[in-house]
Parts: sequence; C-alpha cells; structure tokens
Amino acid sequence: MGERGYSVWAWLLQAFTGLLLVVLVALHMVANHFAKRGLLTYRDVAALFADPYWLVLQLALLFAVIYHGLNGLRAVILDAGLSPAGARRLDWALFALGAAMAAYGVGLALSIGGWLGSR
Amino acid sequence: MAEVELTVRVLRGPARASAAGGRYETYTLRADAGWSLLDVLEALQAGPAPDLMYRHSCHHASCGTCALRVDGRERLACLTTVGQIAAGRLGERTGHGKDYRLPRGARAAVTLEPLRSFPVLGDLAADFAEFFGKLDAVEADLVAARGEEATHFEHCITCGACMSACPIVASDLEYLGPAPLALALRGLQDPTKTGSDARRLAAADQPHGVWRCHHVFECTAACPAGVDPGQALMELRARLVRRRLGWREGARR
Repeated sequence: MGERGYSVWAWLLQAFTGLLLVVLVALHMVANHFAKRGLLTYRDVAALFADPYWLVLQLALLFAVIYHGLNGLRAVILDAGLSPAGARRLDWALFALGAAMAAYGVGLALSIGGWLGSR
Repeated sequence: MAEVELTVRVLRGPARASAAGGRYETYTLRADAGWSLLDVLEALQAGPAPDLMYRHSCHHASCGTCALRVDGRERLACLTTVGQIAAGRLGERTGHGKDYRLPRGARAAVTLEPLRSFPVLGDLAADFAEFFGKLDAVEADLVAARGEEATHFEHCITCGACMSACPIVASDLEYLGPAPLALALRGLQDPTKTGSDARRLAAADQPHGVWRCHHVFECTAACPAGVDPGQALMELRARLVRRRLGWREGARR
C-alpha cells in the first residue's frame, strides 16, 4: 500500500464511488423524506430493509460512503507530508477503521431487516 | 503616463530554506505608471537598495525568470506595471499597453515576496535547483531529432508561479507539482516521440505524483502563460487510468 501503482486504483475508485453516491444518496433521500408523508417509523425502516433490493442499494451506499469519505481523509492527511512508512501505517489504519465501520453497518442493516432471524 | 508615488515593501533576507524568516523593508520612490516591476526593482537597486537580490532575464515574459509574489499573488515582474498596481488590477495578466487613467499625484503601495515553496537564494531570488530536478524527472526538455536539446516547444516558461501557488506543494515538498506534471503530459503529446514516455508516466504515477493533486486549480489561476496545468493534470490521470485498464490510447493530440 502507498507504493507506486496503488494510487491509480484509489483514485479511480474515488471517482467511481463519487458518481455512485450521487445516485444512491438521491434514492436514500427520496425513500426517507419524500416517499411517505411525515417521518418514517421503525417499522417502516424495517420493512424497507426487509426488501432485498433496498438492502443491496443501502449496503452499496454504505460501502461507497465509507470508501469515499476515508479516502478523502487519507488525501488530506497525506498533505502533512508523511514518510513512506507513515503513509503505509495510515493506509492500514484507515483500512481497519473502514472495515470496522462496514462490519457494523452490515450487521445493523441485516438486523433491522430481519435477515438475522430476530427483530 | 502618470507618475505614481509608490511605496514598496520588500521581504528581504539572506539565503534560507523558505521565504519565511525574512524581514520587510520599505522604500518609497516616484515611478512612471508604465514602468514594470522590473523597472521598479532596478530603480531600487540603483538607489536605496544596491544589494537587492532578484532574478530576471528577458524582460518580456519569455524566460520565466522574474516570477515573485506581488501582494500575495504569483506574478511575473516584467508583466506587472506600476499603473496596474495603483489601479488595483493585479488580476489582469499584464498592465502593459493599458491606460488606467490614474489621478494626478496618485499613490500606491505594494508588497513583494519571493515565491513560496522554494528555497531562497537571497531577498526575492528563489532557488530553482530542486524545481529543475523535478523537470528532469519527467524529461521536460524535448529533444529534437538531431539530438540537440530544444526547449520551449511548449507554452510553459517554467517560471515556478504554479509551484508557489499550489497548496499541495507547500505542504508536501516532494510532490512533483503542476509545472513538471503538465510538462510530463506535454512530453507524452510530443509528436516527434522523443524522450521516454515510460519514464514520464512512472514519474507521474508515484505517491508524490499526479495523485496528490486536490483540484484546487490555483496553478491554472497563477499561470502567466496560459498553460492550464490543472487541466493537464486531470488528463494525465485519465491517461494513467486508461493505461492501467489496458485501454488503447486515442489519437495523439
């Protein structure tokens, strides 16, 4: 990580998730604020996440947000002029943070949608 | 042309690692509105500041030697006129050939500082050695078919204004920066195909290469030669992505 050849993929994925977020955030906003008059209840949210298509879209949103946000943070922190070893440590730290956030988000989405056998 | 009473604040100091650490000295002189800042600097050197250090060569925006910061903006001293300063029109590329209709007895003040992110040889003279090393890394000098070096096939005059304006260069001195990366693209576009495209791409595709850019586009705003380095960086990224994905490169421009 951090060596030559890695950054091209990091940037390409940043651009791709950026485009993806435009669509997924718009869908998220519509479903949460415009599809039903008034605020969603917990039961409404659970019903949404019980729909496999919605679940997949929300997991895609989760992964895109986590990657796009953490890679943006990485770019800003790299401006501090880290050493190659420091940059590698940063990459691993952000990867671990992203993995933890993704695991928590996936668990929450599956749990709310009743995919884990309990509501 | 009207005469202007010009107060010049100059950041002076001996050789040092960056522009910081100098001291401001103030001079006042009467200057013709049509004078360039180089004329002003020469007048100061001939008068109150005989030891004033600054860089210059051609006096007509070809050599890129006289770039400095004028009231915080990267400018070529040769293109900047006293009338332009007095009229507060530093956003214009040059004040030459313009009549700003200054009132009689006009007064103006200006602050001159060396380029940022460069070591300083003394006073306003930036040290370009590291910058030129970065240009070598991307094989910026195009080589003619007969083998002699032929520079200036491109608009970039390697004045360093974009390097000084770029906030990423300021925080990461190893970052190649706008001019070297724009010249890497220029090398790739060279129809005579001189130099090593592989070396140019390898230099651009490294942790301190083209991926560090944050799209601030201060480089494009600062460029006195209309190169648009920011756009060149974006195109260089696109080329690297296409190459990595194994897509065929389109017709060379």
